[in-house]
Amino acid sequence: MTETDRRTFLIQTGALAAVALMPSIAFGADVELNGEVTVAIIGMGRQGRAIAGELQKIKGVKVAAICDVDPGRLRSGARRVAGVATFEAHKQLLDTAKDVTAIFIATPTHTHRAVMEDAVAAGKHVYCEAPLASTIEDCQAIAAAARGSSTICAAGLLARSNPVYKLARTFFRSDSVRDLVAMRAQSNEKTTWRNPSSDPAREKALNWRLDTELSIGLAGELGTHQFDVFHYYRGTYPTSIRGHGSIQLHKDGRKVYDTISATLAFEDKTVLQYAATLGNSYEGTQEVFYGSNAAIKLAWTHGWMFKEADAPTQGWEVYANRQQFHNEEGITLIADATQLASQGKLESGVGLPNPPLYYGVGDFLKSVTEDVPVVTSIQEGARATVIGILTNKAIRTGATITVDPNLLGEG
Amino acid sequence: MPTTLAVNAMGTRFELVLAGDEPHRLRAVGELALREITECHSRFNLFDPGSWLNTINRRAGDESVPLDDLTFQLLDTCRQVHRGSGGAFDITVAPLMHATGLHRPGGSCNADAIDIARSRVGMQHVRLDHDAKTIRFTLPGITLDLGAVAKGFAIDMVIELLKEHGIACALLHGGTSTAAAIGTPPNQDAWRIRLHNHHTTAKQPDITFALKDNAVSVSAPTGRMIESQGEMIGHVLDPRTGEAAATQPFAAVVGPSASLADAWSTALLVLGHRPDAMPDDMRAILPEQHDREPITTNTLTTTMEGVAL
Repeated sequence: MTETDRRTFLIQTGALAAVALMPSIAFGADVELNGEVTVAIIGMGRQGRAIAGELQKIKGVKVAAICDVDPGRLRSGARRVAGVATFEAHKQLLDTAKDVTAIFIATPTHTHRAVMEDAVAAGKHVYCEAPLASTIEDCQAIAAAARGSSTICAAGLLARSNPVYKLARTFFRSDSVRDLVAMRAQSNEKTTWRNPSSDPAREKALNWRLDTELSIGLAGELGTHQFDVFHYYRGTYPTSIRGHGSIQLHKDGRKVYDTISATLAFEDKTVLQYAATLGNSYEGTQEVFYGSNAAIKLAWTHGWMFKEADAPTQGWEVYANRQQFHNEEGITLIADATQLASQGKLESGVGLPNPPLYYGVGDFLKSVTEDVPVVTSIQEGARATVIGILTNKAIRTGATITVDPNLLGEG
Repeated sequence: MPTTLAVNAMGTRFELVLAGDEPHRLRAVGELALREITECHSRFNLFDPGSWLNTINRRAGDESVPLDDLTFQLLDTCRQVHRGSGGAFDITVAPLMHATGLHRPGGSCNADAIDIARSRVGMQHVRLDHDAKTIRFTLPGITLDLGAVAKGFAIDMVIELLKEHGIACALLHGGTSTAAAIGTPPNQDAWRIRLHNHHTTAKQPDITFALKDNAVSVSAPTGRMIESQGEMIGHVLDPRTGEAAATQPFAAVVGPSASLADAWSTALLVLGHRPDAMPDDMRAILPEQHDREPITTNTLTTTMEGVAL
C-alpha cells in the first residue's frame, strides 16, 4: 500500500472513528443566542474589560450598565462599551437598571459575596468570576445563595466551556492516554501583580491581591481555574495538599509570595504538581496529564497529545496536524483537523478562534436565553475555590492540609 | 535609572522607557499601560478570526454594527485621513493586500484576483453614523485593515494612560517605526530619535527627530518586500490603483498624535507630497524636503535608552 493509499484508507476508517469521539462539539463556532439579552458588568478592571470585549462580539447582547468604585476604571470602561450607563455602587445599579436581566461580577475576589447576594436578591441571573471568594465561609454563602435562587447562576471557570478542553477530555476519557501516572500544571507570567491608581489613596484598595489579609495568593487566584480542569477531567479532588512559596523577584515590601509550588495528592496515589510565578513567563499557563499511552498538554487556546512510541496507532492521528517541541512531536487537538488538513486549511499551531472567555460567557448567556443547563455551576466554582484557598493555606503555613470532603460537598 | 518594559504585539515589539521616582510604582504603571497595547492587538488584529475587527468585518455588510467610543474614534480618524489624502490612505485596502500576496508569509501575487480586489476597496463604501455610533458597509466584500494605524492608536492609548497616572517623562516606540514621548529625559531638552540614512541617499545625513510631548511615525516601502509579477515591491500599496507605492524611500510625520502620524506617514509615502488638507499641526518630512531643511542635528545624543528608527 502506498503512503497515499494508506492515508486514504485511514481517513475512511480511523478518521471516522476519531470524529465519532466528538459528535456534539461544533468546534470554536461563534456563539449564537436565541433572542436578546440585556446585561451589566460590575467591576471594570482587567477582567471586567475582557468580559465587555467578548460580549461585544456576541450578537443579541446589550451591555446596558457598568459599575466600578474606581472613577478611572469606570471612565475607561465606558469608552469601550457602546451607549452604556455607569454606576459607582453596585446596589445603585441593581436598583436603577431595571432592564438588566443578567449580571457579570468581576470585582475583587473578597467582594464577590456581597455583590452576588445582592444580585440574586434582585432576581438577576449571575455570572460570578472565579475564584468565587477568599474564604471558605464566603464560598459556602455564595453556593447557598445560588442554591436558593430561581435564576441562572454560573461560575467563571472556563475549562468546561473551552472547545479545546472539551475535545481533549474525550481523548482523556478514551483509551488514548490509558493509565494516568502523573499530573502537572503551571501559571507563569512576568508581572508585578501591582495595580497603580491615578489616586494614591485608592492604591491600597486596588492592590488587594498583595494584601495578605485579603489575598489567596497565586494558588487561589490562578490555581483555582486550573484545579477545576483536573476535576473536570477526573471527577475527583485531592485529599491532601502541601506546598511552599517565596518572594523571588518582586522585593518591593510585599508579603504575598511571587513564586509558589504545591503538591496535591489524590486518593488513588496520583499527584498533581502545581507551580506558579510572577517572575518568568516561560510556557505560560498549562496543564499536563501524563498517561502510559500518551500525555495531553493543554494551554487554554491550544492542546496537544504526545504519544508514547509503543502506544497503539488509532488511525486518525497519522493524518493529524503536528507541532514539533524540541524532540517531541505534538498532535494538535482540534476537531475536524483531518478535514481541514485535506483542504490545506490547517496551519501549524492552530488553536481556538476566540479566547476561552468568549465561550464561557457565551455558555452562560445561552443558559439565560434558552433555558439550557448551566455548564459551570456555582457549586463547581465553590469546590475549585476551596481547593485554591486550601492550597494557599498549605503554602502560607508550610503544613500538610488534609482536605475535608464535606467542604467540597462530597462528604 | 530609567524603568524599561517591553511587550510583543502587532507582529512587532513595543518598548517603554519611564523615568521618575518610585520605580515599583513606575513598573506597575508601565505594565498597565502596555496592557492597552495587547488589548488593541487582540481587538484590531485582522489575522485573528476572533478579533473585534473581524466581528465588524463579518457583520457590517448585513447590518449597522454599534461601536464603542474608542473604536468609533479610531475609524473616524481613518476616515478623516482618507478624505484629507484623497484616498491615498484607505483602511479598506485589505482585499488588494491579500490579492497581492502581502497578507501571507511568502505570499505571491494573484494577478487575476487583483481586478476583483480593486472593486472591493474604497472608504466611501463605509458608512460611519456619528449620531447612532454605528458602522455599515454599503458594498459587499469590504474588509477593514487597521495595520497602518493601529500601532499609532495603541501608542496614543498608552500615552493617555501614562499621563492620567502622573507620568511626566516617558518614551514609547512600536517596532521602531512609530514613537511618542511625554516630556523630556532628565537634563535634556528633547527625546532624540534618529532615522538612519539607509532610507535616503548615501549623501544625506541621518535625520534626528527631537520629541517632546509629541509623536513621530516613519513609513518606508522597504519594511517588507515581496515579488509581484516579476518585480520586488514594498508592502505599502496605493489603494486607488492597487500598485505599490514607489515614489520615495520614506515619509515621516511629526505631530501631536501617534495615530495621525502613523496614518499620515502611510498617506505621504503613497502621495509623495504634502497635501493641502493635511492638518497644520502635523509636520511632514519627505526626502527632498530633508535636502533643503534638516530637521535637527545629525547626532544622536541621549542619556537614556535611545530608539533608532
